[in-house]
Amino acid sequence: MKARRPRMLTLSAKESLILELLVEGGELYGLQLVGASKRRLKRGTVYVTLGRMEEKGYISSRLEDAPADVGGMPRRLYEPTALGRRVLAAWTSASTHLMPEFAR
Amino acid sequence: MTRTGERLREFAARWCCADTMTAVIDPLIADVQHEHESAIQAGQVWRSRRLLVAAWYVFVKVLAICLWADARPSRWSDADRKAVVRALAVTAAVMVVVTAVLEIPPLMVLTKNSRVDSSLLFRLVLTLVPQALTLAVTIGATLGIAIGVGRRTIARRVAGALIVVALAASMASFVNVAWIVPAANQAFRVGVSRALGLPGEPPKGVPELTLEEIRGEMDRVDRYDRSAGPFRPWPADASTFDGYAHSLALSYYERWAIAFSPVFFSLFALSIGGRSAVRRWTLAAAASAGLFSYYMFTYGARTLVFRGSLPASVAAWFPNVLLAALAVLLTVRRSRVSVWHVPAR
Repeated sequence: MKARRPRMLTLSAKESLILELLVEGGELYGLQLVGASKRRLKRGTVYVTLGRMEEKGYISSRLEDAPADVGGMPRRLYEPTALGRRVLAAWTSASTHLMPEFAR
Repeated sequence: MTRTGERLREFAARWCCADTMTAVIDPLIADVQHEHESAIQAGQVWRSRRLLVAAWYVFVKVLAICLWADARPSRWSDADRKAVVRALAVTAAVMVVVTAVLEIPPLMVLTKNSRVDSSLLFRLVLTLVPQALTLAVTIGATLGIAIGVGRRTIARRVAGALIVVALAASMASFVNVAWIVPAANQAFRVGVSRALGLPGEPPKGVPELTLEEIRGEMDRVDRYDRSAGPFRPWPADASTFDGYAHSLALSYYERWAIAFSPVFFSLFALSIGGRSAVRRWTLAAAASAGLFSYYMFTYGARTLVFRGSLPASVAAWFPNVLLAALAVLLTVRRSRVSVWHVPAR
């Protein structure tokens, strides 16, 4: 049986932005991420990106307790995983090293 | 009274798999609900309405992205891939067989003529292929889906992929009937005319006119004033003016309808497929019955057009519309029995 090759870890610009916001802000909802990104994230694509990041293992999520005062479905809170933090750190380090003029 | 987003969620649940609902749709709707309720509680009525409009737009965008992602072949199961490959293989095989069978009658007539040598015979048979393909594509798509998909439950992404292929086949068929078939027909007539030693080139009849040429002739017929004198120039293959007018209109609308018939037949074949209690060859027989009835309707409707009892556009499109209605009816009936479902990832 062939040994499986490890999956290449990739990080798009949107994913790195989301990870940065989660590392800074702690647990956040999808729309809170959109607000915190100062319009760099869009309402439509943020949920698709968050779903993809969760599949990759960069973030984890949990349902909040059902809100008593507002009602409706429980919202999903997102936070970075240890793998996500390491990938972000590696990405930031590589960016700084390769393109210091674009590093933040 | 339903809460904001509940209907959207119900709609999405019919199309998206459980993982997409959990990971993408539910968080979106939950956030939208919270935002909307907060705006209402704060007395910001107009903001709450703007949020609803924005939520609809965002929902449609997200649903389109998820359906596109789910439709990619890399997300399909092995069974899905096999069903599509089998459907396409059967379609191709049926197209080849139907084309060959349709070539036999003119081939038998041409081989009896001693003036037609083998190289001319080959060229003449080639010119008949585009016309045969017009029928072969529709028959192939119908039987390909009915036999290829067979009794297995059809995933929506498989059905979507097959409909996209049928749409592409319809586009190709449209190019074929609009321009290639008329040119090939005329090439056939010129080839036979030269083989028989007849002088000059035979004039084009209605089947040899392109779509634009037919439209131009239809406009000429519409502008004709009977009190101004005879209709000039008189068309080569017309016996009466009214017969010519009906023939033009039928040819024009039928080309459109037949070109897009693969899509309607694919919908029909998908609606009869996926029934585990029915054998594959029974499905093929049902599909064949559908094809036979379609062409019988078409020929029957033509008679009514020439009698002046039915507009050509209605006669040409009625079989397609009937087929689509039948497909919708069969699909709705089956969805009530919960046979057609989206398999979870």
